[in-house]
Amino acid sequence: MLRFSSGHVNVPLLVVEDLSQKRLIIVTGKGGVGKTTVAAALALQSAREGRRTLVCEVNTQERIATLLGRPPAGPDIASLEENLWAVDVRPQEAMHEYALMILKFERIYNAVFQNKVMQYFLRFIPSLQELVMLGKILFHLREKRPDGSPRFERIIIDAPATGHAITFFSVPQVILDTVPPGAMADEALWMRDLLVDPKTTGVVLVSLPEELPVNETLELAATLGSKVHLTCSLVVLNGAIASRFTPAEVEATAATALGPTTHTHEFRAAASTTSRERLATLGVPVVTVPRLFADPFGRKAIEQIAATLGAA
Amino acid sequence: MTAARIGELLRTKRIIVCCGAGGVGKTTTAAAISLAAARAGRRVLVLTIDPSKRLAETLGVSRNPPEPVAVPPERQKAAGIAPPATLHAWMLDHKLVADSAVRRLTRSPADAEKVLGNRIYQQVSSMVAGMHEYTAMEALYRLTNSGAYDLVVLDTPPSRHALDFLEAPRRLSRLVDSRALQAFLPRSDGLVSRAASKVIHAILGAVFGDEFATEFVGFVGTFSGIFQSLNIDVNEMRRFLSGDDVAFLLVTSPQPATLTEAHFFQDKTRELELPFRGFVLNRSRALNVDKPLPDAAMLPSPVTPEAQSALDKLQGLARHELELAGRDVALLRDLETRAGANATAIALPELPQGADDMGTLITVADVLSNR
Repeated sequence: MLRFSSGHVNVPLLVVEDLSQKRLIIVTGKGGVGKTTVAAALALQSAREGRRTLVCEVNTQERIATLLGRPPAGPDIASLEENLWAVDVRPQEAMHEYALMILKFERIYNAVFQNKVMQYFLRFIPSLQELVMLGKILFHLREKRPDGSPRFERIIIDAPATGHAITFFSVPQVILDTVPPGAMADEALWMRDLLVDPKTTGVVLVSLPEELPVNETLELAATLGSKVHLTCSLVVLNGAIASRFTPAEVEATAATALGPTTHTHEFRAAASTTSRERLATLGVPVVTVPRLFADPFGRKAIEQIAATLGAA
Repeated sequence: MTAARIGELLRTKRIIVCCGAGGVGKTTTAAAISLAAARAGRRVLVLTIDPSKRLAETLGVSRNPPEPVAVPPERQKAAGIAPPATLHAWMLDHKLVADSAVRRLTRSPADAEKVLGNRIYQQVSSMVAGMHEYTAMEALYRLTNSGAYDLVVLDTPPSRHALDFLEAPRRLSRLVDSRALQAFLPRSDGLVSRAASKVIHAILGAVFGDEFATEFVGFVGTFSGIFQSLNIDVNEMRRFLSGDDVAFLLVTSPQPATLTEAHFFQDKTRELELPFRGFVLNRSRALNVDKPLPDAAMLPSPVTPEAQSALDKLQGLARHELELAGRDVALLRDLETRAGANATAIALPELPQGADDMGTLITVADVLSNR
């Protein structure tokens, strides 16, 4: 009797409707809430709907390909299955690719960027690493195939956690504020405009059904809106506990040795409902992903979550 | 057995460094370790970074005090900390620490103001990778040597890699490599570096504009003196962290990459000659493995139909939980094996996220000290 899955999931028909319009989907939230799992599931679902999808991890211990039962992609885009590609965006490789785009010639790149002094210097420019990583991701958004159609119809970013996400996506604006007009500022402006365009970009916030993670999600949504001008399109309430015991069953066990367990379970189920209601105040659809009692870190789990997101 | 060995670290070490990727509960673990050590009779300071609001309130540092403060006495008493043992806490604000380092290391107040007022410094101090790690280490070094504490527990800066903090000294030494620096200095004597300086200036000018290039070169010039002093500090800190009275712990949580991460971490500490002393497997259900399964005997007879249906559901849930607990137990054993003779592994229970009140910290401290 998964009460929330029958009773509450009436709004989210809009979810896919709205999110399916976005070409760039940013998945973020507090550390440890399941961002990567949700990003993997969204990517799988998107690919299954027939969209050429690239899922990007940002300078981290790569996990998505492994979660989907494939070898790690590494810093070069790797095909995982039909319509689905993955990449682990790392600063050094991104710098190389990105610099080549600006400088055009490998020879100049080698002369300039392989220079020890220059490398030292590059590490030093505020936020340059973030800028090139973001630049690489957004570049793939405008890549075209020979027939003129986009190489990737959708890009999903498994973004850093809360505070880091704000820093990461603020970088174009920071560059605009720091660097005078020039090639770098032009790039930053292009990136900033793409990120803040609600037609292109949607943010998915992942949360857990407990008081403090929900507080943090609400704060993050507010900060992303006010500081980075990113709009939230969807909230995923991960690890929700469904009510399982009828009031009569709770009553019947209350005074027994089993009482604490039934009580705790229903208490957590109630917290899931409250969390959902609080998250709904953001005015965007909330999808509930039940806590998985099976192995929470395998292909099967991702398939299950993808199905939940797809059905929503 | 393992709890006893963690207990020994708490009673004997002068520094415990908690490393770990973001989201594993590192900050809460560091606070619980500190609490357990203070309960064991020591004067403890926990250096926390980016704690949840509730943890900051619990520790009494939510107002971001400029120096470490004692956890409110009534809370210490309630937690079982008895004088002369104490628990102090400080929230590391890297901007504050960096600014005070600049003031300390510059030749004159005017020089300090020049650096602090520089637009590029303001960006660099908050954003350059390594700066957070540097400031954490600086504070650790200073406060450990202050003599006011028997043990300082460091919660390392948030990152997605547990290894980031270990790399910090090396990254910083690279940053302060004086040969590289020479190229930026406006009046450099070497012919080669003068040429390099010209090239760099030209490229900077082309990409960022002349004004930024000039400001940047100026910044590096002013900052170079500070870097030279940092260089000494970095080497000394390296020695300081490799001492016998230091313990590095990896805080992790059960997931497929846990063992790989543990492996990397151990290798890295060995390579850098840092004293690795254990794994903390957070959010583990391993402790549930001994929980009795729900049974009809737990219900008063006669068993009503409602009680029976509740029992059926509970048994279903318990079977799942037991399966997960079994997996976590196996993982803990693997970690124990990997830890070897000089280190340990311990499982901590799964707690509500961010429930960082004193009660939660005491619960975890109880597990750590095997109560």
